[in-house]
Amino acid sequence: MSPHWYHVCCRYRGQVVRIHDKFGNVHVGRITRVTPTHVYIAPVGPRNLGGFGYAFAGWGWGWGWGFGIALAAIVAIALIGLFW
Amino acid sequence: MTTYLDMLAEMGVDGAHPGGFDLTKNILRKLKIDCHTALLDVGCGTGQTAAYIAEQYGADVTAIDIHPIMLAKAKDRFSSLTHPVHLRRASVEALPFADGQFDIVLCESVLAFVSIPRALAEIYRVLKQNGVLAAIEACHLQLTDKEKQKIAAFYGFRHLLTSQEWENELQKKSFQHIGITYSSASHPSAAQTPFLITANMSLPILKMIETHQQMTKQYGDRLGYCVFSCQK
Repeated sequence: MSPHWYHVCCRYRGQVVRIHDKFGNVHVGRITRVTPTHVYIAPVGPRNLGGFGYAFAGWGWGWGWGFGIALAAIVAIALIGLFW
Repeated sequence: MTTYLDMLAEMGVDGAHPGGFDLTKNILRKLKIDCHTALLDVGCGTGQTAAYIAEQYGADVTAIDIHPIMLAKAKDRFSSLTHPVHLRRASVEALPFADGQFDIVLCESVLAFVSIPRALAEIYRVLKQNGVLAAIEACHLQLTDKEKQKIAAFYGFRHLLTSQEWENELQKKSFQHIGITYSSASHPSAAQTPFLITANMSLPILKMIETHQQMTKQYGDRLGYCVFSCQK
């Protein structure tokens, strides 16, 4: 279990994120579910990406919680926000 | 104690102001900058804007900041530029420049964190006659005093003004041709700055990011930013 990423993913559940893993993959989607070992993200359309500029097609997401990513494999999570 | 500015510095957020870098570029397009323009970027942060102006317009750019981590990041960024940016550690409340030195002074979310009367007096002093101050600053719409205190305490704002109050401050310092527009933080175009949460971030920084997100959500309908320009 990765307490740091578990906490972060729970905090941003429902938001669109870009997750970088230690294998060099980049996953973009909305966080739908967080377990002690995985975070699940669902694809979002180009209009809902909030500036991340990614498009999705043919990734074979299927139904349910979306695509699962092991928390232990995460190296960074990118979000967007407003700063003063 | 970790402050909001420490958080921004540690995260290394580029364009850490409402509207992000897209808003910055829109403002710059209206400022008539060319290779003869002497421009001061106050509170340059990681140096994204200053570097862009130097490279895009070939202008004579000077950038200042007071935060050591921001300065280090800006210095690193400027070291690879074709056009140099003059970087100084300085406060806008005591600018180390001669009178009438700059055509344009740019402030991106700076003035709300400092003494506005002192900062505006200094900016006025270093601007050439007819020089322009352009700024993006936090601004509110009908927040109560208690709400303002709570928000100011978290972010370290010295002032949290309405757009009318910003205009009054500029008028007091004899700025002319003042133009101000207000935008809400909850407007979709306001949230355009990407930031990265990494594995080595400390817990206080993570907690601060959370609080910041909660504040934006809670007060976003009445807390926003104003973009203003005025002339000496």
